[in-house]
This record gives sequence, C-alpha cells and structure tokens, in this order.
Amino acid sequence: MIKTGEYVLVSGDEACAYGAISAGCRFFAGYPITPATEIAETFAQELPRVGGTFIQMEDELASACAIIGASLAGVKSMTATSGPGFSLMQEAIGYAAMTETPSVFVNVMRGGPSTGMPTKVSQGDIMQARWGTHGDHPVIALYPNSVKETYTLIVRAFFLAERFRVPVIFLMDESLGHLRESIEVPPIPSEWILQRLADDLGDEEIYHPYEEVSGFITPLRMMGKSRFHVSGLVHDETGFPLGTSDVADKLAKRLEKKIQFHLDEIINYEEFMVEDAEILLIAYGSTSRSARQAVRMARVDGIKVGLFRPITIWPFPNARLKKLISKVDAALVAELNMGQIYKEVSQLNKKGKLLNLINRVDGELISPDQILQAINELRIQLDEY
Amino acid sequence: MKTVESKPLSVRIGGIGGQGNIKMGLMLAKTLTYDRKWVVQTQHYGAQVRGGVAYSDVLFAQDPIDFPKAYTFNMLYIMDQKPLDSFINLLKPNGVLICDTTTIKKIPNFVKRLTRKVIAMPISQMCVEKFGTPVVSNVVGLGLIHKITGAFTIENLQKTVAEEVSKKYYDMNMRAIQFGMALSDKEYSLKDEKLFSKVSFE
Repeated sequence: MIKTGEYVLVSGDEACAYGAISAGCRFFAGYPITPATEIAETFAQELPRVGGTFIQMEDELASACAIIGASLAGVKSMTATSGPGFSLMQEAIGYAAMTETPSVFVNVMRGGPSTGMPTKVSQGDIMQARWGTHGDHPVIALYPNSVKETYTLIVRAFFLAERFRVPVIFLMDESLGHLRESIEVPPIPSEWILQRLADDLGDEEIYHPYEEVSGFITPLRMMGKSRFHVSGLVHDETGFPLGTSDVADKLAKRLEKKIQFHLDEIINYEEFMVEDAEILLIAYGSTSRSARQAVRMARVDGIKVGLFRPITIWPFPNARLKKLISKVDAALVAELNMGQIYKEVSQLNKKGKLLNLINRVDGELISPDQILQAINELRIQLDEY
Repeated sequence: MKTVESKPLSVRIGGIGGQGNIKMGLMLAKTLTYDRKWVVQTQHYGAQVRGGVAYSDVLFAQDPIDFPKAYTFNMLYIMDQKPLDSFINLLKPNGVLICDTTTIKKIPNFVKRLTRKVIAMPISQMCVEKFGTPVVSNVVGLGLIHKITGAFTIENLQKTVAEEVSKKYYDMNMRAIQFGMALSDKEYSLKDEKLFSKVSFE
C-alpha cells in the first residue's frame, strides 16, 4: 500500500486499487481480464492486510452480483473488468440501478467489439457505460486521465455511489491502466469518504429504503435492525414488488430526478486555456493528454486553442459545453472510437459551428502531432465555412 | 507564455519476451522516480509467456509529461536481433545504442551514419562467465547505463534493485551493478532536445 506524501512509481491499475482501499472499499469480487487484471492482483495482495475480502468469482456475472450483495450488507464494494466482462455485467448494473445499491464498476477499456484487442487502447465503451443495461436508468460514469487522478477519482466514485445510491462506472483505458507514472501520493480528505448511516431507528420504526424525500435520495442504512425487501421488479417505497402504474411512474421519475436535481454536485470537468480560445478541443481520458500537449504546441504558434476535458462522462456536462461551443469559432473532438462523444457534442452545437472529429480505432493513441494537424485542417475549413 | 519546452528523454528496452525487458524498464523507471524525475513507463508484449518481440519504454523529464508515448528514442537497449531490426529506425540522430551481442549477429551498416555512440558487447554471455547465470544481465545493463549516461544516481539504483530482487540474490545483483559500471569508460550524456524554440516578440 502506498502512503500519502510518498513519491512513487505506480501503474494506473494499481492506483485504482490503492485509491479504492483508501476510500474504504473492503470487498472486491472479480474475474481476471487484460488490461484490468492488475487491479484484481493488487486487491488480492492488499485487501487481506486491511481486513477486507477478495474473491475471484467464476465469471463477471457472478462478480457483479457479489458486489451488489456485499454492498447491501454494508461493505463498500467494487469490481473491475474490461469490455467483454463489462458486457456480461450489464444485467447486474441494471439491478444495482433499480435497487439503488451503491457499487463501483471499473471498466478498463480495450479494443472492441467482442474480445477485440486485449493489450490495445480504445474508448469504445462510452455509450455502453450509459445505455448498456436495458430501461431508463440512472448512472454516473467517471473517467480520469492520469495515474494520480485515478487514485483520487476512484475515491470520488465511491462518494458518488454512496451519496446517490447508484452504480458508478469508473472508466479507464488500456493505456492508462498499464501506464506507470511517478506520483506524489495525494492526501484523501476525510469529507470525501461517506459512511453509511448507523442504525438509529427506534424499536417500532420501519425503514423505508425507497421513500421519496426532498432531494430524492433516501440514505442507505447499515444492515442491522433495519430489514427491507430488495427487488429488481418495480417496487414501492418499502421495496415490495408492486407493478401498478402509479408506483411505476413514481419510481422511474424519481430515479431520473435523483441525478437531474444534483447535476452541479456530480458534474466535474477540466478546462485548459479556454478563456480566449477560438478553437475548442474536446477530449477525455488518455486522449486528453495528447490534446493538452497539442494545445501547448499550438499556442506557441499563436493559434488560440483551448481544451475541455469532461471528467464526469455521464451525466455529460451539457450546460458548460453548450456555452463554450457558442463562444468559439470551431470545435474538434478527439477520441478513440467512431464518434460516440462527437455525436453527443453535435447535439449541443445549437449555433451550427464547425465541428470536426479526429479519431483512431487501430489500438494506438492519437499523437499530439495528429491533433495539431487536425487543428490546421480545421482552420483551413473555417476559412471557407 | 512559455515558448520553449523540452521534450522528455526517451529510452526503449527491447528484446524477446522472457528476457526481462519490462522488469528492466520498471527498475529504470523506479530509479528515475527516486531521483525525483517525472517518469512514465509503458510496455508492449504479446500474449505468450516467452517469445515474440517485447519492449518497455521509459520517458523522463524535469516537467510533467503529457503524452506518454515516444516515436523516436534517445537511447535503445536491445537484447536480440529481431527487435534490433524493428527498432533501429527509431533511434534519434546521435542517440545511444547498446546491443547485447550474445544473440545479435549483425548491426546494420547505416547505424554508423546515424550515430557513433554504439556499445556492442555480449553482456549475457559475460554474465554467464562471471556469475554462472544470465539473469543478472539486466542489472548489469542498468549499471552500464548509469556509467555512460549518468542519468540517475547509483544509490537509487541500488535501492531499486534491492526492492525488486529477492534477498537471496542481493549480493550477486550488487556485484552485477559494479560489473556493469566497469564495462565501459565512455560518457554519452542523453541530450535534452528542445521541442519548440520559437522566439516570442510579444
């Protein structure tokens, strides 16, 4: 385990596991898969030392279900996988969303579809993170871009999972997972760690875990005196399955509002030199590192480029991005898929600004030079636009 | 506004899977980390346990590193013929090339035009003769890199090696570092290359 203040060399996968343990995660169930295996390895090594439990399950479906059970029993839990395993976990993610169980699912993305390219980088699971499981459901997805940020953002993932009682999808990519970087281990403030409410109910009181309260989130209690029914079927505020239309309507809308009413608290992004930018770059995860260097290179040449990096991928930072796009002349999205976020951004392009995509799907990172070239092409097009 | 930025120095350690390429890259990166450099280390390997070209890249700089990959290298440390043929074109002009000639039979002729900083010696074979095993050849290589480039301190290299190898072989590895340092008396410092050098008139 790494200690605060140390200057160490760790990989993204290791940082993810260390950060989760710092966040209070004491249960990990998973099935090894490149490039997420190192997360499981680190947990297997570190969890017993802090009194936690590590289980290698028979597959990803069982892993996902195990962490939901453990979380309901009061232990902060997570699992980690890559694309193929993430596909298998979708049913359980829906169950976690419906039963409002705090849980963290790490997806270290590899080239896809199917088994794809295990040791190559991709960002192809962006839409799957949002709509992988069926039905309208609330979900939060986060995506760091460095080893240091992975360490702190996973703590935030646990905070959001506990706070909003949702499955949090923690996206990483092969390049980040396998990247070893020197970091000074940042401190984890205690307010980032949310504890479950202790059981303070009176003898005759009944806990209603799915009650509609102001803010739409009923805090989850530690298992103990409180007993409640958990079901993936449409249920009333006690958790009892009840498929009437008014109950269904209330539940579906509350699940949606839970996120929609707290966007300011959830959404997080980073801006780099956007104040006077004429061209806006939009990139996230590993790609944003190339984009950041491209911005610095372009600025030396006097081209006014800025970078917008969503850290919260879902819910997408619509409001801020809409404002930024309306200010600039043109925008460029850089990503390692066929344009999943590009389409999301194009919906925000209300004023019809020139919007381009630079992407790669060959399992390699986009280099800063390629982005710079795309910026130059964008400027030529802008001249004729 | 900053108009001059230096590019990180880059080292590629390449060989056949099983030769300890990634372990060596990891030890190099760890040593540089203890030297308080900004370091990123990446690797490439096939699905098989042994065989196939495998490599490990280490980038280090005084400033934080954004893009974690390099396309050309200040130093190549190559342990087999096949990776030499694949990567030799990635060496920067006047870059440093270290070859373990135990398995490398031919260094392409054009390298002479590219750089004079070439060190070719049968490191693995020398290790077998000296220590009775080739497994310390990577540590010997790190000792050699320390001697010729001075990129990191010997204390931190010893600290890293002590952490990364089992206690049983501690003494042998410490001797291996000294052995590596004695292999060459050349001094090829890795030069910082300026990424941008435009003069600002603002």
